[in-house]
Amino acid sequence: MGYLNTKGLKERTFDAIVIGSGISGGWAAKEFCDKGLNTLVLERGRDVKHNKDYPTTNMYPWQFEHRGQLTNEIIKENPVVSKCYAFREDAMHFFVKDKEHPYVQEKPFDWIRGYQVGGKSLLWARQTQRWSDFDFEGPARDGFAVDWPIRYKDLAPWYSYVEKFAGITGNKDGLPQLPDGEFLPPHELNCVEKYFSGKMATVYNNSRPVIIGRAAHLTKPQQIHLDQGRAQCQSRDLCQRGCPFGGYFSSNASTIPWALRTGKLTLQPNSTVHSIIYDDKAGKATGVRVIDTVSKTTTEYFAPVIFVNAAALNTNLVLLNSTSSRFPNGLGNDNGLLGKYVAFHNYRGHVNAKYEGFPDSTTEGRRPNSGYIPRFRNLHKQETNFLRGYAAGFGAYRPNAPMNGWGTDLKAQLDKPKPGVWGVGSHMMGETIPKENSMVSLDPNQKDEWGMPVMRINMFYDDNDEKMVQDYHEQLVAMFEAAGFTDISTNDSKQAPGLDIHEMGGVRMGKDPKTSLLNKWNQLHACKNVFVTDGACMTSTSTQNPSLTYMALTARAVDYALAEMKKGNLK
Amino acid sequence: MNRRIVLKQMIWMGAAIAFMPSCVYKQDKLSIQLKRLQISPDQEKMLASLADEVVPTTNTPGAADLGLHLFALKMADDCFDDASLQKFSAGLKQFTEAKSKKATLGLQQAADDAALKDFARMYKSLIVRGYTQSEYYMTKLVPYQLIPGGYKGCVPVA
Ligand SMILES: Cc1cc2nc3c(=O)[nH]c(=O)nc-3n(C[C@H](O)[C@H](O)[C@H](O)COP(=O)(O)OP(=O)(O)OC[C@H]3O[C@@H](n4cnc5c(N)ncnc54)[C@H](O)[C@@H]3O)c2cc1C
Repeated sequence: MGYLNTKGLKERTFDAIVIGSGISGGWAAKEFCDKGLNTLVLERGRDVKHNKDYPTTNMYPWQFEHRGQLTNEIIKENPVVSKCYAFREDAMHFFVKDKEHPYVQEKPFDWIRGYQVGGKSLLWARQTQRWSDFDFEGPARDGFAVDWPIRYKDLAPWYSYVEKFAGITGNKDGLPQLPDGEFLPPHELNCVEKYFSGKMATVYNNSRPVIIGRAAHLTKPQQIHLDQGRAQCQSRDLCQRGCPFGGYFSSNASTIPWALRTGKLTLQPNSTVHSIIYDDKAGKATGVRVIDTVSKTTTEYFAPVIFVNAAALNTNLVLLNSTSSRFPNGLGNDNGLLGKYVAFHNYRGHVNAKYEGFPDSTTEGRRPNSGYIPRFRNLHKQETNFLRGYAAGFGAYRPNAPMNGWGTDLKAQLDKPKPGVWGVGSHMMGETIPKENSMVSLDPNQKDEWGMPVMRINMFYDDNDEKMVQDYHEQLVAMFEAAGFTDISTNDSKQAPGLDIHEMGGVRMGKDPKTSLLNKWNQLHACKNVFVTDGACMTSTSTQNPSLTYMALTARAVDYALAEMKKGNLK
Repeated sequence: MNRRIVLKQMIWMGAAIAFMPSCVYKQDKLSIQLKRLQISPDQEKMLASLADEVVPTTNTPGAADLGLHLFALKMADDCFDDASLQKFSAGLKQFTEAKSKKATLGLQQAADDAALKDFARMYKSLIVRGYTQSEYYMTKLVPYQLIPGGYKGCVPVA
């Protein structure tokens, strides 16, 4: 590979390097910059500036050529990404198109990616539930993967720390399985959701709480949010376009501009990290090799500490591709487990129904959030024929009454729609068990346009997942029946792994270097100045949306790295 | 009715036409350039009148004022998958033939005919969609709020 180190060595040397500018990389950048470190963020995608680069954000529905819908041509060209519900006419430009970055599906896997400054933080659904010890103790209790090297108490202060800055709306529900956080005022459950919540409390004796989701929205901005230049969430519920108010948390609205204002951040888009440079003599990583995505030239950058935040699978790719004589199978990969034990969330099950109650009530406005049912299965002890459990989304809505007929009769109905029967719906979010043969690897032959090896993905559902879908259906149907819902229907989307967009693992944390890649501070056991704090580090998947946990782990790891640097342990 | 809005709607259609390469193939008198769907200028006229059967012009704008048949054609042409487009095309052909034998044949009647009902329903739903997603409808009849400012979970039905 031809190097083009045009800038001097000094200009290419920083105090810290962060790979990726999404949710986790944005946090690493902010934390380092706040502490005065000259930080280089390398981002493979283009720049997306808050507001300036949200081209569709203020468009009305009728201003979209196809009213938001995808064309047949786009669906045909993008069989994978077009399955994502948010890949629509208004936000397509923030997703990787299938042809742009191919990968090998050893088994069906829908890899949904956002390559740009901000990564997928522009697109996410903003659900931010904390994990609890029911999650961190899962592998040890149920005998899978390896024990997490941390517990809830290690992360709790860091959850609080990131929540205060990001701004999380939620209700203090006092549930041990879903610890409360630093909440801004909650969104409201609607009449039917409240009714369901109350009914379930009686029928299941408070063992199946139904609550409002916790989400990264500024329902009541505090000074720290105003200082970021963000304003109150206006309930537009058009978040995937980028929010002109900064009403939800994204790297673009929050951590990145914050870090830039410190004057310490060098944000470098169009820069794909090819690999991490390992110095055999020094026994540590010294920097990274970066491909300019436009000119395709390679430059090296150096720093005493490197954070890998390229999003779970790409972080695996970068590490696997970082070979040296000391690490012929990828950086830190002494035990051969790099890329293995990847897992995801099982989102296959859905249950829908109608509710004849509350005919005289409806909702007003929009709510960028929904109801949430924390995991109740196998929570305190094993009680089913499958391991672990699922959380569920839950929501009720009042659609218009059906409009029939023709001509003036139909037109009169269209012009003054009447409310129809309430609809209710739920989807599952199941924990999957990481397995050694659930893995990613580098294709030995194929390289992409930029000379990066193509990723091979081998993830799949197992018998445990099948049983869980069935149980979710049974339990939710029973709950819906108990609430008097009618026309109950279940659906198994059979969607491929990946579409949950919660892929995790491959560089898991653990206590023992023989069975894990990272220690309890997210440091590679075998290369202490490289940290991994995105989804790749996850030992197990829990049922909660994971990004809040990536944020907390990142802030905690940077704090640790800074302390180690001070002690002279990281040079 | 609001002329400005209707005019804007037409400009939108026009803009869509302007983007299309004009050399794909000649469709002299069609007022919209289509890529996949093949229709004749006569069929276009017929579709315009059928659209008015779904949402007629009364003392407020209807399909004809809003150019909804063009919206329907554009959506079918761009967004239908191959199977739906094929079904729509075949249905349109059948309908055209049936109508040439019986000039009074309308869409409503076709919706009850085993052979024609798929086409009738598809076309009707495109027209309804075009109407309810038009600027006119979303500003004057059921205003769309870009910035609702909040959410109330339980309010009395108006
Ligand atoms: C539609 C949708 C809904 C979602 N809903 C939720 C939700 O409700 N709650 C939740 O917790 N999570 C949700 N997620 C998932 C969430 O977006 C991700 O978990 C989160 O963004 C991961 O953060 P990250 O920093 O690891 O990766 P990302 O945010 O994806 O950022 C990674 C960045 O790294 C860059 N990069 C990759 N490779 C390289 C390289 N070699 N060199 C340089 N840069 C590189 C990428 O371009 C990207 O910008 C959702 C995702 C989507 C798409």
